[in-house]
Amino acid sequence: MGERFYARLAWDCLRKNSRFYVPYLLTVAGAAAGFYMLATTGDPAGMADPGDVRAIMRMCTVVLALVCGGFLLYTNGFLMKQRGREFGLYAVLGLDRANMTRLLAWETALTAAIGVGGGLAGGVLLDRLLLLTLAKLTGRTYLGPVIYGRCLALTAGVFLLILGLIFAANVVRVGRMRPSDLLISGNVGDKEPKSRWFIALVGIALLGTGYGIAIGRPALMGSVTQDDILWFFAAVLLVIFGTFALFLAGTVTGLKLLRRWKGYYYKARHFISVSGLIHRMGRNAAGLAIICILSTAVLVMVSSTVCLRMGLESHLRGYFPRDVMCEFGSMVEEDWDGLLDGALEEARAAGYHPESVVRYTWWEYGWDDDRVVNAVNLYFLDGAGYEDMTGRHADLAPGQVLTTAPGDTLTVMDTTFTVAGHLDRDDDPAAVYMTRALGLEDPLLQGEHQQLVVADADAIAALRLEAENYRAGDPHYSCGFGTFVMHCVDFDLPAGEDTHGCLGVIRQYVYDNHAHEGSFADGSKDIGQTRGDLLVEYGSLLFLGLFLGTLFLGGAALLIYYKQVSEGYEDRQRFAVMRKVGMDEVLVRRSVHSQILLVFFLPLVTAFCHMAAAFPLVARLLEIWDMLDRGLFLLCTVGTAAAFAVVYTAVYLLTARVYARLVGR
Amino acid sequence: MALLEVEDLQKTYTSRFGGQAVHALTGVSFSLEEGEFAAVMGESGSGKTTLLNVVASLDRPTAGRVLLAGRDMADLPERELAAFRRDNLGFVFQEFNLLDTFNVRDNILLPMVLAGRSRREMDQVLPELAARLGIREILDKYPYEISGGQKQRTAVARALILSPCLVLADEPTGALDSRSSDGLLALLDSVNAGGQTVLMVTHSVKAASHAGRVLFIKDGTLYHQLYRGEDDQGRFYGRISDVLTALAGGRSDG
Repeated sequence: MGERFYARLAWDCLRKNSRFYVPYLLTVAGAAAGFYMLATTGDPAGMADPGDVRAIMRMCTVVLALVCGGFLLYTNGFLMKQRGREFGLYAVLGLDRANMTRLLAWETALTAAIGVGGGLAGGVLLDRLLLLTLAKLTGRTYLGPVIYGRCLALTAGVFLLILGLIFAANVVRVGRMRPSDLLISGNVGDKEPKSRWFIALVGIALLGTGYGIAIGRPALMGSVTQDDILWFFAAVLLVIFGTFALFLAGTVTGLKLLRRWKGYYYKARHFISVSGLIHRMGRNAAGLAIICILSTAVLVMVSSTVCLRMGLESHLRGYFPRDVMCEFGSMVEEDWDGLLDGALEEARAAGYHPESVVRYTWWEYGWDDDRVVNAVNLYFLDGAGYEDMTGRHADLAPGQVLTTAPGDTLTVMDTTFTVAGHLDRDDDPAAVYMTRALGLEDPLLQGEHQQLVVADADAIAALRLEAENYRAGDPHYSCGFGTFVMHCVDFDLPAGEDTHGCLGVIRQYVYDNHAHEGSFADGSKDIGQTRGDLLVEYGSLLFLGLFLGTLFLGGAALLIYYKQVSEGYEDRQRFAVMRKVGMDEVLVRRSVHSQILLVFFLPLVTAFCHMAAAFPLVARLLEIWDMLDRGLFLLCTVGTAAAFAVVYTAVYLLTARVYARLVGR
Repeated sequence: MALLEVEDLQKTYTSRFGGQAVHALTGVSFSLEEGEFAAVMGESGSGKTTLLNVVASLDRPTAGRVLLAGRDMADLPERELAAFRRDNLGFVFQEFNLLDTFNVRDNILLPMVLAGRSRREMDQVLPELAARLGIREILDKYPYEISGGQKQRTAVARALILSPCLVLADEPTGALDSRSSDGLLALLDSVNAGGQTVLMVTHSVKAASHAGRVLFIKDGTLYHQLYRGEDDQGRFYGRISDVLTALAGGRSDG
């Protein structure tokens, strides 16, 4: 028989099974398009200023290839199960293994041509849009080619490899079956699933351990480290395996317990649902577990990345009491007032309009005496700065300070100050301002060990000199102190003025005019520049969260569709019989609803449980990106969950119609 | 009064787009006394399955009426039909139609559970019935684990569990080998001997020869009927064959 025959036959096969093959081809195409697009975001030819983004994207590309491979292999297995009878018929009609292999080869070739070809075309079309979205989210301009040859080749290679593996799996699968088995497969002879206590218990143990890590670990954590990320992934793996075990064994075991409870089981509603569910669970557990895990992945990714992005501005403001924060220091005595005045004048001359100007001087001193036990960091602020920040005159006599520290006196090295007034660390505007300006918000550094001291500028300079020689060589005593007394001028700019440009002008002036003796320090920063940096990071993460979230959601939706259709076919006959035996339409509908509802909302509810359990640990991991706002994360989590529930329900309702059409009269 | 009365029953199928109408039944009347065992015979397409479906209230007649124990099924609203069917009719199908999600016990109990009967009643009725049908040993097995004959016995048990006034059998031996067929027919005989009214649609002369009366359907009308009377099964078999020959010949003669 000629190749044309097989090509025709393969084409007919795909057409005849279009109810299953169209979604499958769409999946292949969607996965290929998604993969291509993700690959382009990591391509060197792409983004003008790639930075970290490229590395993250590349890593995700690898992960996505694995996920796509697994997912396609699974859906293909599902498809082949539906086609058992068809292959049986071919075997009876005389197609031997070699013939069947050729048929499968043609089918694979067609799938590759349509699926991968279509996917690449779609990918190229949508890629521009996607890259523009990425550019928008990361706040950069996008310049790049329309078609990425390297990515096209990579995508084609990866998907041809995946389809090749699937082809091999199918050849083995068809070769192993006997024609007689093939003829009845997909119909009856479905054994009742066994209850597997052991696996169910293992599932509970795995899930419990995973939850335990996610909930218990944050309490044990100091600051977030690499280890915690490893712990997180360990918890993720435990929960994935636990979910599989629990869905595979736990549900059936639980339902069988219900069946043994005769008073419950022999009621019209429960009778049909419980027995139906036992069978459904037996064959669908893996699919439901996958839906659950995909859903959880979507929920966690989207909620955390949305949270990061939404928290960007307030996070930024936390470190920027003013838009531009100039901060300089040098080893030699200089007229800093004059220098900074000149710098501000220069900025005004360049067309900038600084407002809400704050001028201050600060210095940091900390010591650790193992005979006193506690380390203390003192942040000294000069009186003029205090006045700028609070609008109150500090009114300090020589030897007097204002401080957040308790006590009537404050001793620093050999100098003892009288405390003229106590400042409230949470309420005093200067304390609040300095906490933000110095980035002291890290909760681990808060509390007793950080104190603000308002002192005379000369006293601060004297302390710095004293610190250089104090107790050098004492093994019990160590101290750390700022090398420089820092001189700052902070100000806002009207909306639209370039903060980084303005800082540039000021820097230039200071660089040109300072004494150029000894070392010099520049700790200046501006909100525009920092915002841009953070946008690249958070925007890329948000992009990934949304992109992978959409892809996974599509996968879950596809699985749901497949389930509805295959179950519709199975249940059609079952309900026809029950109608004849005297089941009325109301009971049919109720029973259908309760089963389907449970089957489809079980993964969703489980996913919500996983998400809730993951919350504490994910919240801690977000600290890596300086996200400390638990309230915002909770809001994002709840919002994401709600949005996801809506989409999930919509997918369910749409596919449920297919099911209703199949079982309806 | 007759248990089942069928009066001038007509059924016309019209295709959805108003194309050609198919007259499946063009006026069938007969009645069935309590305790009778009647068979309906006819070629494929003669309308016998339609007749059974209408009698079973699975299908509504175009004209005419069906009275079961004096009640007109057309009077019953759709939502009461299911309950009516459950309480008064038992079904035995050619393809057994056992549910693969239930074991034998639960398949048999299905009508009882749907009817909301108590568990005590189930425990009373089931063991006796299962013993009578010889399926007590397989109650815990699943349909895929038992033979065709056992499946059909299970189906009969399901049909009888609520003690319906009429058992309808649609080609009950159609999917069985000859030994299993003999067993099933003997079973129907004994069920009938216990006073149960049975209406069976069949192709098989042998199956029909177990009945006390055979109705022949041709082209949607009642063509002929035979009473077994005092004949033994062999003689009755011969008479049925003769009528079938005439039935087939009648067509070739025009």
